[in-house]
Amino acid sequence: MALIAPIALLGCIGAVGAVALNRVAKKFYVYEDPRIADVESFLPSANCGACGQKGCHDFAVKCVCNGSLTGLYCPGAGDEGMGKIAAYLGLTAEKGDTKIAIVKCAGMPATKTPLDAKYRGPRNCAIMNLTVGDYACLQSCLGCGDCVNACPWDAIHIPEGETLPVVDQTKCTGCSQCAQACPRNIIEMRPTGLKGRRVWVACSNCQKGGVTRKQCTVGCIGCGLCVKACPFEAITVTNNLAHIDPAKCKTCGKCIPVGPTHAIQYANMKVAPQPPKGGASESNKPGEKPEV
Amino acid sequence: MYNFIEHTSPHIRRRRTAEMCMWHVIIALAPTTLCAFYFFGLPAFETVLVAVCSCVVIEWAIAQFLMGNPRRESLVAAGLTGLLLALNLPASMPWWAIILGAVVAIGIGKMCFGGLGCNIFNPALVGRVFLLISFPAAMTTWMKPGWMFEADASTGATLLTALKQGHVPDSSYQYFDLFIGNRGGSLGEVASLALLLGFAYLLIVRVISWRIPISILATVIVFDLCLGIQAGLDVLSGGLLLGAIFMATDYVTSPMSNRGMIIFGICIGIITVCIRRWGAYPEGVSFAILIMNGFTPLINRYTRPRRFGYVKPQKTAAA
Amino acid sequence: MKLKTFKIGGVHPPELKTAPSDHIITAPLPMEASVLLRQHIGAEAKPIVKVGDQVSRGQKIAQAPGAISANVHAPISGKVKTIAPVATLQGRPTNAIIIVATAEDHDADEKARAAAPVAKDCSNLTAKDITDAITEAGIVGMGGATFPTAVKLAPPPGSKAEILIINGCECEPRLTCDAALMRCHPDEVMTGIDLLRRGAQVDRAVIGIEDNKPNAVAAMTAAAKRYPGISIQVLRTKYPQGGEKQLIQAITGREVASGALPISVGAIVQNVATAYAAYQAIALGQPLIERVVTIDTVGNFLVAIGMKTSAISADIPQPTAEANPTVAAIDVVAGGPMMGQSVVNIDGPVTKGFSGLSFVNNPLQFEPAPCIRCAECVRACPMALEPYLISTYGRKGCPEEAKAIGALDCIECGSCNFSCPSARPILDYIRLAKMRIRALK
Repeated sequence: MALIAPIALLGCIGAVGAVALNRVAKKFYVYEDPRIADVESFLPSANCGACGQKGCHDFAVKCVCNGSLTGLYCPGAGDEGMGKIAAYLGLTAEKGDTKIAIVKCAGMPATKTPLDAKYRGPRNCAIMNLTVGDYACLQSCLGCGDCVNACPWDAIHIPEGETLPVVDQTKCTGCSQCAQACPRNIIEMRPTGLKGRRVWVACSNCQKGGVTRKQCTVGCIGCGLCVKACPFEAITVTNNLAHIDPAKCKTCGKCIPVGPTHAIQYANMKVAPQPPKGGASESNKPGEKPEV
Repeated sequence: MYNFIEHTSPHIRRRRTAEMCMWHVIIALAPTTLCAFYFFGLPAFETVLVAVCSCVVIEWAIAQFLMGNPRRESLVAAGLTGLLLALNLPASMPWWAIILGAVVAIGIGKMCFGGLGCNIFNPALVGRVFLLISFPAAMTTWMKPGWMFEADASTGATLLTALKQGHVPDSSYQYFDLFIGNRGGSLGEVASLALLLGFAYLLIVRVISWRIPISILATVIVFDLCLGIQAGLDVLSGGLLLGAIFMATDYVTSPMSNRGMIIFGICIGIITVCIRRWGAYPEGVSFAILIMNGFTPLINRYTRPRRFGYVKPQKTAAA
Repeated sequence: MKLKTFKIGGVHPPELKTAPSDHIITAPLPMEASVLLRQHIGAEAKPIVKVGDQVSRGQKIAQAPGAISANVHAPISGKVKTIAPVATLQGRPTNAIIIVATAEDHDADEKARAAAPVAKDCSNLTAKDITDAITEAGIVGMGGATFPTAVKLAPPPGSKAEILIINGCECEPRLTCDAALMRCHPDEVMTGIDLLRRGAQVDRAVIGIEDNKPNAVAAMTAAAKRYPGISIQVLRTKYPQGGEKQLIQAITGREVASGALPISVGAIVQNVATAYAAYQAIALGQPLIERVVTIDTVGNFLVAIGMKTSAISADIPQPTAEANPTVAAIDVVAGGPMMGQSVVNIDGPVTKGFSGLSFVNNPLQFEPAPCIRCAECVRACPMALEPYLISTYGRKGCPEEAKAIGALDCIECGSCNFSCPSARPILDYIRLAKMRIRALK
């Protein structure tokens, strides 16, 4: 008896609870299209917001409920993932223009001119940017890693002992979180390019050439030599800063060796041999850097 | 000739650091500790030494080997925890039990939560309550205050135990003895006068505000008077003063707003009296403080200061 | 009797007001002046002179393009050398008109400056005359916020100003320029206040002065006798008394609602230096081309706007030419040490909102320790916020939560950072939270 009473009591409580739970679950049941969960399983569930929706679930809801995939593209899933979703839903997916983050600064402590002022405060780019920082160039990378913290894909890192972030092109999905986090707006989202080939100007300094020269030895001085070298008229110089239009650039590489400060960087391509005093042309991914 | 330093405003800072606050509390505990040495002799000294050293060493070891760099102020905080733990123990506590208490206090009470500033419960009290539950006999074997080095291990029931068992306090318990500490009890709770000196010091150097201790003591007195108990005895006996002045006012585990502090103190007072009167233990301050530590985040949330110029958002008319 | 002050929070930083306030040294006019086109809140002024033009002292050289902007005038006579960016004290390039004087220009200017000023009778000017003159003279709030004064004086439709509050608190440590103005030119300041009062069409003006400036209080009280509508209110010293909302509460007891302007409680707040500038503009016909600045520990100087800051006094310590780890590192601050900004270029030009240089020899060196939840920041916050929590939300990237607990009410006075025993950069992360809240929209 001493054993039975508590067992019976607990059993009763359990039974009452079970019935109550069951009733509540039925009463408040919300029907959700089971396809939403399936579509969500194709998504990377990083909730990065690059698609413009509130998160991966929201994106999946839109995919299922809109009846078409127009305007819906998840850079994290890529063409492959979107293809799966399209096949599952019986729709056609849009081809995305895949993008990758590039850092428009090549300034290392050795190349940048330091101010005779030292920043003391939290190592956070946005806060550091309230002051002028440690270096004369006001468009250079601050090196505190706000972009690293913003990346949901673990695709951007500042290597140990260095000051510039490096994008891992195998992981970057082009979600642009890093570009939004950068207080100096020196991260650009650039089309990945054919076979991953791309050429860009790794500098954001808009000062006149002479001023830029004093601030950094690898800055773009707006000399215009690359404009002349480009056979496709893809390069323009505005505000003393060259810009390569990815739509026109055929990645021929003719602009890379011509500039005196070698501010143009490239990835995944071979270029003509350069003058020996180069040193700025560093690919985004050292492993795939061609012999120069 | 100079170089510039760049800093966002403000460019100056008050001189007091967190470490200095902790040293102030240690200084405030000095009279109590010296009284303990005076009344209990060498065993008291050993207890304090073992507790402080083991707490600091454990803190250093965990910080060094598991969490990265040990910080100076965390070590001072660990020393303070050790001192408070020692003052909560009887002088006759065996040394291995003290080390065990220190491991629980620092390891589980503090470092598990992430170290200094992250703990929910007062680490010294976690250690003490662990010892109280694990070794109830050793923890309630009070040495009678003897003369220096005259280790008189004879035990005596404390006043609270006597009250609990229904004995009317006899004339041997004099208020004056309670006040200067001539009675049995744990190291830090016997000398009420020394504790009050420490309280005055902390108020003068503005390390703590009066709100928590005074609200605890006032609640206990009022509640006792309602129940018809000798409030004076209740306040002066047991660990109430030690708890109210030094344990409940721990920055990390007490509420941050003024209103919250008073609510915190009142609740501790009520729980203390309830445990003392109707609970299984003669002593309730430790449990009361630990229980209210758990409620601190909730109190913080609901006692937010009224913001300057705050206007209640106008309710939109129901559709 | 207990003196009035604001009710919530506040701190007592060491005052260190060592620059003597009993006299103002007139710094010589510079041979070259870089006049920034944007010395105020709002749009950049448009230059109305060309390179090579000859300009005379006090001539308007840039026109405000809209209401929230301010005219800029030539502080010296000379030729416009270039219109180009120059580095400010904070090291950021800003567009400026650079004027170079010849020796004759310089001598003529100095002679005109030394001549005894003849004050016009302004007793029959209307409110519109006064505000127009203030707009024309390019006067902005000279306490540091640099908001165009005329805009503040004209209340928006539907609101009525009842009281003009003059901020003579100077609650920032180390600065004494307002105290010096009140001690050395009490009658001029008082005339300026009377002009501002009439410009704002209010009957009553109250000057709030903290009780750590007894000499300024005495001088102003004597000067105020001639003006029935103007009174002096001595306030108990506490930082940030000079905050607009704090000062209104201290003097009138009214609380400006969150997100509202002072005019919502019928108050207009102006600085004493602004009042002095109004006097100069209206009674002497001299636009805002000079101001009084404090050089920490040295003294107070009347300087031409646009001159190199390092040239104000020979006693300003000069930095090393290049970064050198062996020499001392000093935090040079433009303004007071609580709210000023670090200087990285001491050759930057003086601007309208520049109140002085502070040399903080003992800069914040220690690394931040963990928050011990001592609530010092909560007690110090004059807006009754919870700085530690807003700061954490800022650091962890939770702008919505930060907004919900009033991050945008923060006046960035720095009291929380000042009082933190763990040396945490509380205010920095509150700023970050505010930046992120603004980015939400």
